[in-house]
Amino acid sequence: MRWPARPLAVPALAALGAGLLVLPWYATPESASAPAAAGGWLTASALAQLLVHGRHALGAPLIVAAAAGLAAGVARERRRRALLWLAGGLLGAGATLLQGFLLRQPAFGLGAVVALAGFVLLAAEGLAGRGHLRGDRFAATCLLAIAALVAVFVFLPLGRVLAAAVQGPSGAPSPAALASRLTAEKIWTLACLTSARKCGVAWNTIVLALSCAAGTTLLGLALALLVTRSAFPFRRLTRLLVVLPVITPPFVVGLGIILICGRSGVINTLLEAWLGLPPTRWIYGFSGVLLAQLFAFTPVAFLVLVGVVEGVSPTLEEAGATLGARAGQVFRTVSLPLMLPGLANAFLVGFIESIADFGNPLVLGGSFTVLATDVYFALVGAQYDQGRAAALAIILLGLALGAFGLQQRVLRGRAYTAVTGKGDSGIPAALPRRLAATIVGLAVPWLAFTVVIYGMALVGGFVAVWGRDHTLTLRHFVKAFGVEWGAGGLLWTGGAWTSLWNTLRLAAVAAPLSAVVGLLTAWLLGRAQFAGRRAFELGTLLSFAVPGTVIGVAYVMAFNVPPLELTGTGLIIVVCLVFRNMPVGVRGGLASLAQIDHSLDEASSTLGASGSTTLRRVLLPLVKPAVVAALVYGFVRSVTTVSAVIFLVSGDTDMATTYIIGRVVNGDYGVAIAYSAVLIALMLTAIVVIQRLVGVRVIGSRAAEGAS
Amino acid sequence: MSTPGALELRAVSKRYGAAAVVDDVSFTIEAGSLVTLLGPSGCGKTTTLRLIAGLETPSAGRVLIGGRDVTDWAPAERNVSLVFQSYALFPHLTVLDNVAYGPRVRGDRPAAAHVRARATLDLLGLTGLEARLPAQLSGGQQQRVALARALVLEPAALLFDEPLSNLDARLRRRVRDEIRGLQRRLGLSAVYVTHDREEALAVSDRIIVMDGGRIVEAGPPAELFASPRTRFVAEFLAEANVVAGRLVAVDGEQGDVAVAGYVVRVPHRGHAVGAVTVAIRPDAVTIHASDATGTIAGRVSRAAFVGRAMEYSIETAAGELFVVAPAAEGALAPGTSVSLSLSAGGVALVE
Repeated sequence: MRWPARPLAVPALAALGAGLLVLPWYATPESASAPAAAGGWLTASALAQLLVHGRHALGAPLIVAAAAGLAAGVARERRRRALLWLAGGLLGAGATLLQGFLLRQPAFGLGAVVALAGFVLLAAEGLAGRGHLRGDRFAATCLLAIAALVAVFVFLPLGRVLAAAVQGPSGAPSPAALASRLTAEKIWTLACLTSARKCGVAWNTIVLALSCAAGTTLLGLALALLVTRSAFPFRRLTRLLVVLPVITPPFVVGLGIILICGRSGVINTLLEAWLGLPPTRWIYGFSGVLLAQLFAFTPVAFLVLVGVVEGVSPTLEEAGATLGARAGQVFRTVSLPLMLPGLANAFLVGFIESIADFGNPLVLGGSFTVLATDVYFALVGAQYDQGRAAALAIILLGLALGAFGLQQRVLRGRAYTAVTGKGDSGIPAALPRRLAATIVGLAVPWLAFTVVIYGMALVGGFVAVWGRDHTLTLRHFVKAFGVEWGAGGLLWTGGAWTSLWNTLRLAAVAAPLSAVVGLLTAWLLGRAQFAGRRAFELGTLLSFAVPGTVIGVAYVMAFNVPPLELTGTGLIIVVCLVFRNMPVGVRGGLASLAQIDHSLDEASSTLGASGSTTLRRVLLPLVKPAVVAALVYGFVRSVTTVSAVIFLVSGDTDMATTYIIGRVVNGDYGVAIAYSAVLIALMLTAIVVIQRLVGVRVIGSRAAEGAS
Repeated sequence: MSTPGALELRAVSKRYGAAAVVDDVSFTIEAGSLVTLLGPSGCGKTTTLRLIAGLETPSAGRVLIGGRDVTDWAPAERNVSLVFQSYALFPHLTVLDNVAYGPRVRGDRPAAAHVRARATLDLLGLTGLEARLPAQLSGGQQQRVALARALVLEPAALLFDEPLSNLDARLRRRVRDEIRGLQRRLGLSAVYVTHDREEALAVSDRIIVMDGGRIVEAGPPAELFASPRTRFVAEFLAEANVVAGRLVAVDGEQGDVAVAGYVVRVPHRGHAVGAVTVAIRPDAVTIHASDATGTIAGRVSRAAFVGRAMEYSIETAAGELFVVAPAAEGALAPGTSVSLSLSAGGVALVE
């Protein structure tokens, strides 16, 4: 019997033909009014560029493609032909990119992109033909395509940052310039210890991050113990509150704090009314940012630590108790040491979140700056100093990667809470009384304040002018989301509509893409066997550890100039969102796939299914929850993110969060708060809709029992 | 597409780093025959099967199916089906859709795929279960659905990876005989992996015994069982006692072998007169209560009643012998002195 084996060589050669011979190689400027003279040669194909316009470098990809096409005809033997294709694909893609980056020329256009895709397909056919990845063409294509995309959209931009930091005054690379930028006094000075002057921004960042990490870990542990180990009455509410920061823009907490503690906030107003104290701006600075971060990131620590606390086997605690230890001793000598790796992980997560945080320092920092905001001002503010921005970004990246590396090591060594497979029927030990009291003392104020902050963030939108005029009004909503019935039909008169539509449009494109890329990556990592698997995993997870501001700077530097000119477009925002959110899909997908026996995909492939068919018909139906999670997370993060996109938005592509930040910076809190409330409501709706659309997993036996 | 030599492995090796899991394995499987790969766990038999299916890529050597070199082919392109130890039924698909999966992904229209699936289910007596999900089936039924799913494609070779290990003992024998019956009836070429010697002996046309990634010995079951050439096969396949003996005289193909003074006539297999290694099957030892002359004197050191038989450990001058005697002959208490004789049919010279 014959079955379809679909070689990729045909589509690959077709793409190469179209990309090199037919389609315009260079991008034509979007302004269609560009002079026809310039447009004339820009629309030519690569072949025409070579023959007519003398762009000899384009000969390289053309020759490689022609050679690969010939190879198909000449080499009869399967393995040799595969080798030729693999080499042709890699060489062609390399040559295309190399000439693009080395020579001054217009940006890549449709032709170049299609040709690059053709080379990747060709290499994939070769890879599979050599028997790699079990000969699966789909897996080979995914592997090469994702590797190429990660290289172009994660590593290339980071490389550009490094290049910008090294660039000397003359334009040539100069290690001295790098050294002086990295060790600048403004960044590292410790003057605040000995004088009234300010300390360096790096120390600000580190001290803030350490405080934030310690605080969130402590609070997170208290909450986790409260929820899992006590009879605290509001355990469900606590779990619910924890989800809030995940679906809100990061600066909403900062806004709430301003409404309470700011100059015209509740506290200052009361102090003035009762004691006649003049309002102050004490909240702006280190303490305000730390406070905001404690509220914004404790839930993350909680989510990490709930798993850790639940992973401590009650049997071990019971063993401790039967050996004669008192409750306090059991906790100190058994439970706590078992939780230690988890606590270390939570600490590092808090550290990473804090240094990457952009919204809260921007809103609450005042004159206190951290690396994330300084990077932004170095590039966007009056200073416009690419070298300084790059140096700051490198320091920030170094801190983040250091913490990320430590975290990976902690996670690798986490053997204490391993699941043994034996049922643990013990009852978790009750908390020692004094500890329980401390926990309640920590957790209850946190919970109460969280409720108040989010309450403020919702109510604030309905108040005329916070602190001065507390009449209830809808005017902020009208200003942002006004709709009028005018001559031309419905008029979107509100100022926020453009940014909202942009956000929804871009997030709707980015979320499915990041889910697809993330889950495909997880599939490759979890199921395929190939050399360099570990490097591939690190590469794909890296973009998660890179702070958003660093990515933002890197994208601006890398994609502002040919051959990849993307700034100012919606595409660059989508790309940024996809590669920032993809690692969540990777992790979720890996966890889900780990629960599915390999023999299922092997059965499918021996029955004649290709990798893509197996993925679609067998694995996807079984990992639906991971798909939903990746979609929801991708969408929510796309809508709520600030740090990276704030560098990438333009007048045409303003996003909701950047619009809100703009309002906050202008002191227009009413609209900002109203908009935030709308976003939160939208997020909740989106989550419900996505879950409905994708549906929940039908687990064989249980669902069937219900049906029969 | 069954041709003589439905399946062939040529000097196939699979290495992970320095460790060879499969080491220079070559064999051919004739069309319509069932060959078993037998060996202890970790001997490389399952890896060999996965190399045939294309689920692993060999580090060296070639795999041929139906005369064609498929070494670099994807599993989906090879015309073989694998019945998994865990059955690997798709939990979200019904029995009918599970069996129709192969035809569907190879391009059949749904209706045509279902017709083929129903015919195969019919063949295996599974009619009536089409709409069930795998979780609603008994172990034996799941096993047969897995078999149906593999059979529906009429593969050039059917591969079994310990297909009975998840069944209880009674069911195991029945399914074993069903598989063998079906394989004979349809003239299928099959490779069957197991670590159970009884299973291997019962189903095979030929047994390939593996150890440490290499083939130790291969041959028809009865031949391997009766006259193993290697100590490993004698011990693994027949639980034979391997003791030191002496070839005292050679006469044509036969030779006289003395074990602890008892002489038995067996094929000498080219051994020269002198010290030899002798494998004695536990059922080839007869226990005499009386102190007969010309026998091996021994003393029962352990005795166990296992139902149909008694199992003894008996101390002799040749070492401790493991002996199985029909339970009907009564039980001997530990400490009893006995004399033993050997049946030539259960004694072989090994390397």
